[in-house]
Amino acid sequence: MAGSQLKKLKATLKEAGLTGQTNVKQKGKRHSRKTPSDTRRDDRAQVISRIREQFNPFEVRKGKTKFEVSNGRSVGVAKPSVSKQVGEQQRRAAYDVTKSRRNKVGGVIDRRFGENDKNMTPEEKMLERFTRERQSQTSKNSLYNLEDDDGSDNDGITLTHYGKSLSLGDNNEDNEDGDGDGFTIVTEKRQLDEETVDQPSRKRTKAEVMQEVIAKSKFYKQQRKLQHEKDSERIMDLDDEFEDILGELKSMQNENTNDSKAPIEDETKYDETLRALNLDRRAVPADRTKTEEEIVKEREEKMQKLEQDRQLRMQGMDVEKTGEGDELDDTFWAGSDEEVEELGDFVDGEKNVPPEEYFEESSSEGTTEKIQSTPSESVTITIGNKKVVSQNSSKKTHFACPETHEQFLHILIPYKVEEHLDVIKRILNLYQPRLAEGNKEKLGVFSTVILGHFLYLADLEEPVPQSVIEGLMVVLREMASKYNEPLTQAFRSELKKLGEKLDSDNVTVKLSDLLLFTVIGYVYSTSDMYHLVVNPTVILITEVLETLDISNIQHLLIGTYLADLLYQFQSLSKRIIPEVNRFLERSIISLCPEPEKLDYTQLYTATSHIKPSGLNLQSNSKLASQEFQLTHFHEASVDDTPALLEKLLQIVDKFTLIWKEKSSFVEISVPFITLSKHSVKYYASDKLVVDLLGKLNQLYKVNIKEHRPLKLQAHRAISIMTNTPKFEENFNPDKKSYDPNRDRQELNKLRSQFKKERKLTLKELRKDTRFTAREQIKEKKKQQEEYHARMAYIYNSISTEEGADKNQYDREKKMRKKGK
Amino acid sequence: MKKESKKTATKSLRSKPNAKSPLTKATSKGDLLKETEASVLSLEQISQLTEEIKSSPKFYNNIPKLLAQYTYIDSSNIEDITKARKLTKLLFKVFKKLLTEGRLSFTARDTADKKQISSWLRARYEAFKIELLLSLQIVELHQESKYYKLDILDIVIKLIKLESSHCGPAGTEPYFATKLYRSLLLTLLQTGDEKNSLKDGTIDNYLILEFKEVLFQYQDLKYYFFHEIQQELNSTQLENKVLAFSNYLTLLYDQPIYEDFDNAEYLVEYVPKLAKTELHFKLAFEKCWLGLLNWNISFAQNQTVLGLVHKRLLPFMENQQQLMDFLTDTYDLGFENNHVNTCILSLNGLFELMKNYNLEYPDFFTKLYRILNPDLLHSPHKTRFFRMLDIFLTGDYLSSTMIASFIKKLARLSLTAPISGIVIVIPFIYNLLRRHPACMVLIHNPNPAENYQDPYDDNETDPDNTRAIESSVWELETLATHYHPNIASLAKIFSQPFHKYSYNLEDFLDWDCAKLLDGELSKKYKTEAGLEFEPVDRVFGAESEEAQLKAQREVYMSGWVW
Repeated sequence: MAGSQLKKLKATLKEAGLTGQTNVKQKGKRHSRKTPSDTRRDDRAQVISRIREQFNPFEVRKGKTKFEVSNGRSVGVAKPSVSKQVGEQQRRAAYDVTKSRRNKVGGVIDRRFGENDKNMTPEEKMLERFTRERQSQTSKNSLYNLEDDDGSDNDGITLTHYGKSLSLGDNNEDNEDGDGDGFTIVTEKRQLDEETVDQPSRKRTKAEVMQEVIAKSKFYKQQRKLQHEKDSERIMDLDDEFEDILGELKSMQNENTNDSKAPIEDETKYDETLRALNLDRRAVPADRTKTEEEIVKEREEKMQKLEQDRQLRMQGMDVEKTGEGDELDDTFWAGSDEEVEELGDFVDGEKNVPPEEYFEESSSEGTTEKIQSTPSESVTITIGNKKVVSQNSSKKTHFACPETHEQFLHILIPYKVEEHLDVIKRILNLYQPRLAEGNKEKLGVFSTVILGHFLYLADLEEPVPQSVIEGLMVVLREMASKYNEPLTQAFRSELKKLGEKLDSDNVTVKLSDLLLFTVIGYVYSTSDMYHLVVNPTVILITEVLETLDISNIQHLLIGTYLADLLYQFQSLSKRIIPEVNRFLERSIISLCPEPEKLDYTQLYTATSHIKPSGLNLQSNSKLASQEFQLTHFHEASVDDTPALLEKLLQIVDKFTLIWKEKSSFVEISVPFITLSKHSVKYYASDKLVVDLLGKLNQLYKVNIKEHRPLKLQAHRAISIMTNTPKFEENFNPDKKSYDPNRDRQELNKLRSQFKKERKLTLKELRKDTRFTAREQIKEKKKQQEEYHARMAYIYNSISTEEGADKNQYDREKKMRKKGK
Repeated sequence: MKKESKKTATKSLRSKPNAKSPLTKATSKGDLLKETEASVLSLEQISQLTEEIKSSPKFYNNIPKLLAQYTYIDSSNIEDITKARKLTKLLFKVFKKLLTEGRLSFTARDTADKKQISSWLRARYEAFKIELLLSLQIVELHQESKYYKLDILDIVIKLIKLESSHCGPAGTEPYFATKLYRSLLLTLLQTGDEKNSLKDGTIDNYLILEFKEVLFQYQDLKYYFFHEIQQELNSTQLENKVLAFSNYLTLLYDQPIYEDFDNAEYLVEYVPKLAKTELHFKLAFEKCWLGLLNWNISFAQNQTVLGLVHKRLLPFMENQQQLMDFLTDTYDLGFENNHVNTCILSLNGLFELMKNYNLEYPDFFTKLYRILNPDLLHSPHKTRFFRMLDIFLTGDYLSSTMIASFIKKLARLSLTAPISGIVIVIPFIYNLLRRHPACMVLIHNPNPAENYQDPYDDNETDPDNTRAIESSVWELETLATHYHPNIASLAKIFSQPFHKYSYNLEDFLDWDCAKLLDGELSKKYKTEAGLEFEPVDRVFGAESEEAQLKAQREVYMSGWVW
């Protein structure tokens, strides 16, 4: 269709029969006659709207479809301008309403309880209303309550409904405005409380909250000020009285000194008895004596706990340490009465030396006299048959706990070796941690000194008695539990020194080294998988075993001792030590008679026929068991070989306990079976040898039966991840979800609905705010225009008035001039 | 005339170094005595006489007087020795002057007188050198004689330098005083006392150590060192071959013979061409070594040489294959004596030859398998061996039966091995299993026969016949309970899935006791060290019968007394 838009419109209107000749009868159009006028009028409106649409393509918005969808879902047609207009109208209506209501109070708000609460049944509502009504009638706030004198009703009568104020809570503000500072906080507070109770729904404005905060802070400030005033008043009073009290006190003291001079004898006696009584055991209700079973049970539980911890450590797991009581309370010898008594004897005896005497090095005989001559420094009190010496505490400061081995040796000069242990005990007792601060650290250092001294004693030319050595070991063991860190570090530094020594030159194992290893095994838990001291120790011992010369009897003796010690180390954890296996095998070979007859193919350390080492026993010799004296190991000779071989076989016997649990017992035991078979030939009468062979053979038989190939890689199969596409059998494009779970499906549906709604609402809200903003700007503009117009009007009127006045003035002036 | 005099001079020189007994020395001295008046001179007189010589040629007759003084020196007397030191220094100055002035050499144009004087002086000079070398052999009774010998050594080196620059054929022509140097070397190699021999076959000889410093400073000295010794290998002068070889080894065992051939320093001003070319040096070096290795050297020396082959010998040899005989011999020797170190060291040398010259060795793997003997994991050279073994067993076409034998044998050895050995064995076996998956049956055999019996033969020497592939490595499973926690956890890798491609062997090779101990002792104290809680009554002594019956522990170390 050609032509302009207007022409087209005209043409279309004419075609629709809306313009031009209206009553043209068209042939073949029968319905026009039949249809009633009413519908025809509708038709007309419809036709017009259709034409309008046709001519304004932007009025309609159609969704485009990219593909033809099989189910022919209809594509919606939207009319954005129309819907926009409708929205605008609605908003305007709502806006007008709110605008007309703004800043205005009026109308009646339904404050009846639960009126708008949909969750309440009518019965509940009625009941609640009734109770409320009753309560309010009895309350003070009632209009008819004559005793109400709070003054809150200064406005006179307020309108109520069921006794409640009908106002919108503005009266608070009114009150505040009216009263200003005179308004008391107490009443306000209560009022606030009431408010919160009565009107839970109302949200306080910011201004209100701020007001409240300010009022509160003012109130507290006031209170503090009052309190301060009160306090200062009191202090003033006390200050006034103080001088009097002081005067009185002074006079009292003077009196005392005067008195004490005369009855000095009585006083000392009194002091003594007082001290005696103080030291006497108080009549304190003792803990109930535990029955024997209880004690045993407790002990067992404790042991069980310790054993559990040990097991964990053996598997290499961390054990949580729980504090074991307050260390300050334990005295070193606590618990064992014997030793306390022993200590008492020691204190009583000749060597009753105050600590400072250790340094003065005076002879022990002179010191007893000294004590008697200086009773003020230390007082001896006899209680029962025990003597207790209480030292003057000030004197103890002179005494220093030895910090180095040299210092300690200096102290020990006047004592025999047997007495060293007593001196150590004495020092430990003097420096109990509970006696003074810092003692704990001092004893920690002292524990390392003890270790140094212990190793020093071991290497002395003159052998130290066994009791001293063992006693020191016990002391070290006790110390290790209390001063674990310093002692552990000391052990480690000793091991380091030893390691460096081993590294530098050929091995010269000293007695102190053997004792160091032994005491470590004695003190520490050697079954631990990870242990700060034990691990390096075992490495060192095995290294020594590796470097020992098998053809040297002294070396053999040392090696035997170390092998025995290593068994003690591993007796619980049952770990294998390959170096020991090698040592045992080699040393037995070098000791046993006629080694050339041994079947070397069954041995692990020999590759060819064995040559006699020179230490081998005669074939007609006999084994003997004997105790070996460590201090004499340098004097070991060929005479000791029978006993040594016996000892070695004993150790093999011990180690079978470890080996028998291993899967390769068969492999490990082969050389030892060979060796014991060989030994049996010569020492068939020796019970140990025969038993050992029997045991090994028995274990071998059992183990070879169970010797099945390993299955170390029998791991659980892990499936491969699969990613096949999912095929829906009853596919339906209309179906939103194929979830078989009905509940979940519902939930998802709800969720998506909610999401949609939320989106829509947000959109609407934004539109609203935009609308209001627009309206407000419009209003402001309007206001400004009005203002300007008014001002312009005023200006104009003034200027006209002024002009008139000026004219008049000019005229007057002229006139006067003229008049002149 | 000239020729004759020269000949006699050389003859006398020849005859005199060969004079070894004091008797012949005395006779030679006798000749001198005839020429000069025999009298003991004091120190003042000596210095006076030397001053005179320096002042004018007419006093040249003082020289034989001074030389005669050597006959009166008693080596046990300290004063005599100090006197000899002084005398030697003064004489050196005299001859130095004469040498630099050219009095010892003459040309055809010189007058007969001068020729006579020169040849006469030359004869005295030769006599002086003989005295010097003889003095090197005197018995050392005190410190002074040691200083004396060191002086002589210093002087002889200086003389070599002087002679080379002044006694040469003519002016600037290159010349090296080989005769003097050779006699010095032969004397030096015979010095020292066999008592001072060290474990590794070297010797503690101060003269040699002193000479070593000079030797390694100058390239020409080094060249002539090998050149001259090689010529005198069978000389009667080197009668004590063990001692000679110890000295020789002491000179060469601890540093490479040269680092930068082209920028080396030379002692002599005009160096002969031969000493300057690397090829000739290498040839001399090689000939000398090969000649020496033919001697019956001691076992310890053999070991040391083997240790040197890899780094000190092979790189400086022209024809490295020449060492093959020596290496194969020692390799076999090692097996004969069951000496692992020898085997490893010779194998290392052989391996170098195989790499470079495609050397083929019969029964290679059988012999390799034989090296896996009980001492292997205790040997200080085990790291070297495992590096090689790693290369040898890399091949994909090695039979799994053989690999299995190696694995089983190593596992067996680890039952008596120290930590430093086990720590290599475990990752090594892991790598082998990874490379040869057929051997996994050793650690995982899901379907064993009903009446399974371990068929492995530990004593079989052929790795193809041990039947290890039908066995299982229980030893490795047992190692999971090793006392060292790190080894124990390392051994557990065999029971875990094999996720890791391979372990880097180098990380495990150098763990010795000191390193392990250091690792342990450097751990920080965090928690309380665990304590033994079960009480033991005594530490030493015998267990009482009562306790034995109750199976209680009363004594910590029973059977031992303090």
